[in-house]
Amino acid sequence: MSDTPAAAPDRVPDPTAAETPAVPGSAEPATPAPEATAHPPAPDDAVSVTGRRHLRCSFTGNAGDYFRIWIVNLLLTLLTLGLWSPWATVRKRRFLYGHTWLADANFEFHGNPVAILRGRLIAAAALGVYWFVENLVPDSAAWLVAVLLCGAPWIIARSLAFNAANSSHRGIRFRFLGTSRDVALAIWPLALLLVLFVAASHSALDALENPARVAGQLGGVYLLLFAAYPYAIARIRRLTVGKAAWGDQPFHSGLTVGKVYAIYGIGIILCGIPLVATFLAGFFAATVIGMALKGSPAVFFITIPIFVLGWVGIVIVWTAYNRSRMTNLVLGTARLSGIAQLHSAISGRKLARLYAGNLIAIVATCGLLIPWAVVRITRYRLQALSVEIDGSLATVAAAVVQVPRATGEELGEMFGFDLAL
Amino acid sequence: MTMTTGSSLDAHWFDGRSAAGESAQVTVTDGYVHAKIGDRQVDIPRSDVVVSAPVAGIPLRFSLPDGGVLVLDDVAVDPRSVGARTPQGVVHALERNPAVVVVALVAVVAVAVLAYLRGIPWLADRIAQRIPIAAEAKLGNAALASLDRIMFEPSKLPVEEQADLQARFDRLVAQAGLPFTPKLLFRNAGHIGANALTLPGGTIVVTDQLVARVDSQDETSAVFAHELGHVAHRDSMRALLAQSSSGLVLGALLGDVSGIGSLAAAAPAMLIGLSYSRASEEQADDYALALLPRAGLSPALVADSLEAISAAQCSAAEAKADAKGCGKSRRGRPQPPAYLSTHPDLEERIARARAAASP
Repeated sequence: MSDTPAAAPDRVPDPTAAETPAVPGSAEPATPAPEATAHPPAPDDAVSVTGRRHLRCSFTGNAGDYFRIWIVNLLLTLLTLGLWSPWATVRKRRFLYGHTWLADANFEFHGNPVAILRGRLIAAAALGVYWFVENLVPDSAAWLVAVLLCGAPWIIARSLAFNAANSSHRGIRFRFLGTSRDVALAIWPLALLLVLFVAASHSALDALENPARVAGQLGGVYLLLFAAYPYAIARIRRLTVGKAAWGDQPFHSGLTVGKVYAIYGIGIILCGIPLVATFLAGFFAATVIGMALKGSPAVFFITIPIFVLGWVGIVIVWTAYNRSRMTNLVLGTARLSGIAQLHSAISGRKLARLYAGNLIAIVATCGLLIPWAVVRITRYRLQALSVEIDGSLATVAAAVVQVPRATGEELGEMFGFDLAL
Repeated sequence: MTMTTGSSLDAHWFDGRSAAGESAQVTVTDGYVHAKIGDRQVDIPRSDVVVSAPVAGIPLRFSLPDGGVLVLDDVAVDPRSVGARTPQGVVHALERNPAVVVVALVAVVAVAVLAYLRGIPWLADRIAQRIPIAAEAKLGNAALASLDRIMFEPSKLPVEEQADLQARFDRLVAQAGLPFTPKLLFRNAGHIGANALTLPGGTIVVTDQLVARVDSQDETSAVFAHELGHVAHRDSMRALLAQSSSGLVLGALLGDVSGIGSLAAAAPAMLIGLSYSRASEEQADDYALALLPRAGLSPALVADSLEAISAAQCSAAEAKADAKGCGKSRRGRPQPPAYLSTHPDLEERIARARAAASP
């Protein structure tokens, strides 16, 4: 479902990091039992003079264990022609959630694989119909866009609700209270912009003989997209945090649009550095080596790698900067009702180094080191996360009350849509 | 009631109504789970308690009938010792067995290689043969319309020459025995130069530059025969299916690594497209080698036409003015990269066609 407009590039797919609306503090028993030998390290809850406590998040999973789960379930998925994939998803997610610790308790994922299987079969059927119609029915583009625009909010709302309702901490489930209408209002501005963008690119092909007009039209749409994109992202992020709840306690998002614009603005400038460097290096190589080789096509073998490397560099710089700053902003402005404030301190440089290492490892092993990469990124993101609570742990935790069982639809008992949003 | 016979395990208890927790001690005996929570002692029949499916390194959870949960502190407790009997316990045992992990690793790599070499092309072929040619033709018409806008101009070939070539094409089609009638179109293509392409739905487009480049109309027939091979094998549909399905499979496998994963997936998807096109070019050559003799032409024309086309440094005007001189000089020159990417290893194909044509 990567076609859904809301699967915007900077949404965080790591299940543990953002989907579980990373959770606030809670209490220790009045008389803590002596720590058992194998229990994960207790969070350092530092008490400040004002009585506020910082609870650090931690991730205890190791790459070797995750690799075993990944490879065995991948084989089972292949042997069953994909039917095992919901069970594989649930095992991987239970590993990632279960190794995420906060205030001496871990998270739990409760998703029912059978429901996820039903959801995936429906999604696969829809994708097949989409592929068939897109490729074999002429003039179907407008209809497909209309169907996607209307269907996406419903699917996304169901998916957010499914993921939230099937996540818990300290025996209390999360919830997503947003409706399809809320999602539609948040994603449609971005979706319409993308439609406009694609339509403009297509019509540009019809008018190639008039380059000035094409440039004007395309330029206008590009500028509009650039100008409005951060606004649309801000709306989506406010929705996913602001409509989430842990038990009876709602989350609030203090995200402001201006800060998102600042992040995108600085990001573009930062990416300008590798962009200019690539063009200079490419141009230099093309002219100098081109002269030396007297126009032989061999010059391509030198300049093409330079541009590929430059492109990879730009993607890494952009992704690391944008993800780190956006996660810090989105989580840093998230409050759990009046009782807890989230903080995230991900460093863009550290994330860029992790991404670069992961990319090399994944490409060099044809994907076999994906589990290692996932664990590295998840561990770093979660270690950078902390929760600040006001008052004693026991009172704060006791204030969070389970809301009577979610409806079957919300839980996705029939069809579990689990988009990685 | 029998009291604890197993050893006592430290745990955290959550009542499922508020997030406040309490420490507890759990003992599992044959028929019961006994829990000491604070000052209270709770005994629950074993059959009413659901023990979570074990996952490496995370604590076992006992879900109680009243909605409460006991989470063991020790993550290393053997699931069997507390009577965990979930089906996923078997999967957990597989994941913890080093021999199984090694076998899984080898098997996954083997399946990936097999799918790449055999599975995806085979599946794409099966599906392509089942798609009605009329549906495919719509796709081809759309592609032709956009090519006409961007790259092609109407052909400048004399009408008589077009008629001659059409007659040659029809003779080959008569011998080919296809279940539908392919269409031949001529176009002038300044930018892409000498080329012949097969669109979905069995439409073959030959550029004026190609007709000028080859040394004789017989060689043009060899090009037709090669393209008819693509039509017979439904290659354009197969390529479309193979590329979209391999993209889908890679996306699903690499999907759980964020952001950078898509970047890592792009390169192999591109390579897959390239290597499949290489295989289908060779199959189309074979088809032409078999078809030409049936139409009374020499199979050696396949290699001849490939050599003529590979002389890309030689302009069409030069070729017309002095075909022989240009033919001599073109052999030694390096091929331009743009042509190489769609027709890989042209030299190899020429050698192959030569070997097959000489008895």
